[in-house]
Amino acid sequence: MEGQPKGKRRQRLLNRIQRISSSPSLAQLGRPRASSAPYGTRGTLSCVSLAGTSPFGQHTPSSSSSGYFSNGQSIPGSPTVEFPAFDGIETRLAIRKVNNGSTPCLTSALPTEFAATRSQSGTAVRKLPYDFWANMPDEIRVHIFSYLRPKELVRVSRVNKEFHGYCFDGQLWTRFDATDFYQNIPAESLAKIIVAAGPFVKDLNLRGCVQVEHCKRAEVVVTACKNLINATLEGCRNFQKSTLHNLIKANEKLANLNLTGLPAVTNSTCRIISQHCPQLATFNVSWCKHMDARGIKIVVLNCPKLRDVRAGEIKGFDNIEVAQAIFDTNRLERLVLNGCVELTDDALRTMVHGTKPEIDILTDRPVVPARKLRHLDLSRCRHLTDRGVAALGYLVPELEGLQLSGCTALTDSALEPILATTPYLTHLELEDLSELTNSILSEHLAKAPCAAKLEHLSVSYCESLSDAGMLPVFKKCVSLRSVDMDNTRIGDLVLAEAAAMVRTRAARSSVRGSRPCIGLHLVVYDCQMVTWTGIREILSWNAEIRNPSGTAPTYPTEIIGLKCFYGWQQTVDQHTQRVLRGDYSAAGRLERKWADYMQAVEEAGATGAGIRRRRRRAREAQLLHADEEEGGGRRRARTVASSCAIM
Amino acid sequence: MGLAYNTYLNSNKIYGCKNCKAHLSNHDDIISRNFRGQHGKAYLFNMVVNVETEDPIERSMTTGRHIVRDIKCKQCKETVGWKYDKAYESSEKYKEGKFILEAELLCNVS
Repeated sequence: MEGQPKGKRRQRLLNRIQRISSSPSLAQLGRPRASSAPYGTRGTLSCVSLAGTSPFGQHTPSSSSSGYFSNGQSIPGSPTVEFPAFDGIETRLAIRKVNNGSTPCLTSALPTEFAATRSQSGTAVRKLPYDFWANMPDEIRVHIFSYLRPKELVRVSRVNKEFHGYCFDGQLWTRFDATDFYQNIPAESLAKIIVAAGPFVKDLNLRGCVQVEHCKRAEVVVTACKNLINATLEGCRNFQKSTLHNLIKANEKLANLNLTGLPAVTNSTCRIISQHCPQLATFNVSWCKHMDARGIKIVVLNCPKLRDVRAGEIKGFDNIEVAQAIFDTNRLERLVLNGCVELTDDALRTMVHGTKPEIDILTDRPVVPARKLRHLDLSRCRHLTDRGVAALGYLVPELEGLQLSGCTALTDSALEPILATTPYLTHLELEDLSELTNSILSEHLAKAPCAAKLEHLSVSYCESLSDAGMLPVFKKCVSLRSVDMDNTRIGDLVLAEAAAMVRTRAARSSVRGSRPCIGLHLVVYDCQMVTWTGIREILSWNAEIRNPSGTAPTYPTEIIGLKCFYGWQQTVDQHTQRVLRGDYSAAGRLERKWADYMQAVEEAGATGAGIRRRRRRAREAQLLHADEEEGGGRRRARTVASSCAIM
Repeated sequence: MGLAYNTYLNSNKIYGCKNCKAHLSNHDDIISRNFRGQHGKAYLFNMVVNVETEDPIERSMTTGRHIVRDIKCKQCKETVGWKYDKAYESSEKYKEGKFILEAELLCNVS
């Protein structure tokens, strides 16, 4: 074939072009269409197709050569133009020039499978097609699948048996977190996946899966999981007691267990945990109605690694033995007893210094080793008084978080020793303690060793607190990141002081495009003494571009995020948004307009004289404001607050 | 209708139903805490989840006439507060569409 003169070949070629019809007429070609090749190889296309006509013998070597790109060994000078012909895939054709002489093939490779099947003769030197998927090692295949999310994995598993096997390979399911799809997945699928993953599952999160146990499949699930390390069964309220016990017995390596709100948890569950889970480190059984503090005692005594116990609203904490157990082991770093209303002063004192400790003659304090507690939550333990809480002083030197919200009987004297002896305190929550006075803040907190480290402070609803207390706090506590002062008597001075503190501590940036972030969150709604001028002060400091003479202007890097009276909240939010975008001039304009509006409202008085004028001014201000916003004319519903400071 | 699933919120401080601890709202969604309900203190929230509303009725409150709907926890069917449908006074319009949850019937779940 190669020997034929060029001209004659070409002539024959051109003749054939005209004779080919565009419809696939395979009978003429004499080759069955349903061959193993996925692409009908010899059928003609509506585009020019020269491959179909020439007899096979002539044909195949060149067709085989078309399959290989840059293949120097292909038959040089294959005469016919090769258009790989496969139906419907015209777009993938790479049109090749007529090969004359020795130019190697220039097209891209055909899909390897059908190139192999197409070639009939064995004369051509062939490169075997490379089946990437089949030749890949298993680990790489599993690694590819690991990029899919659980829902996608389940979908993909239906492709074929091989994929089914890979998708349910245990290595992909070491973390089973149902948070995204707990509402959508039926119990059988849940059970199937967990059973398939079986002992590979280390981290199981079934929060909210109330469907588990509805189909009585939980038994299967429980027998499958043997290697759990983290288990969260919060909200699986249909879980039965026996199933839960079996699950715990089977998993010796459990370290973090969250059984919040399960009615199935009882004291015997705690006993089983203490016997079978020596690695337990965090234990959360808040709101389990059918167990009490004795269960906690068993777990605390028998789990040597236990660091974190959350037992909100568990009954029976007036039991001195429980307190004694906690004192004796002294391993806990986080103890959450919020809502344990039965907790008494005596129990708390026992927890902290044991029963009848030796009292140092000189200092009048108990001589016991310090507690390792870092975080203590005693919110809403209503029966605690100063006598109990003050015992914490001097004995919790590593304390970082303290929550005493809602222990309404507490006064200043409970907090004084604690604040003086906790240098690492960062979180302090003292909501709803109406007996606290300003001196606890100004004399004790501001002068405490933890003042410079304090990050979160909440004094909401402490109705006696006012500027005199909070001003020193803002002066001294320079690391503050969030302060809740709603429903107190603070006023505008505190807001100004907060702004000054942030201004001093934050670096200024000279880069024009840099955007600030919110460095301090303040909550000041419901404060009668806070007026719009205080809010305005904060807004203006947020957007301030300082321009010291002779040097470049500097921009703020840290601003204050404010939650205030609902009437002004929209303006504040809009202003904050503009500042965060870096648009300081627009923010400044907004602030000035708002100030004009509020002044007009004030001057006119609540009702009566000038009300029409005020309304007109308000309308004008609103229109002006609406015009200057980008996207113009968008009318925001502005509250026409007749008097600012009143709800 | 099928199983009723709870919605879970993601936040530092979440308020939940005192009875069944179903998540109701975030601390960040509070608009004001200066309200009083039948059981004492009440908070005004922007958004609550896991509640069912009942039929609207007209009530006279200290701030004027309003149309409100009682809201119940979806899980345990306890009344937890109410929702403002309509306020007749113009100064109270900001409450429309917002929810009041009684502090006594709430607890911290976080």
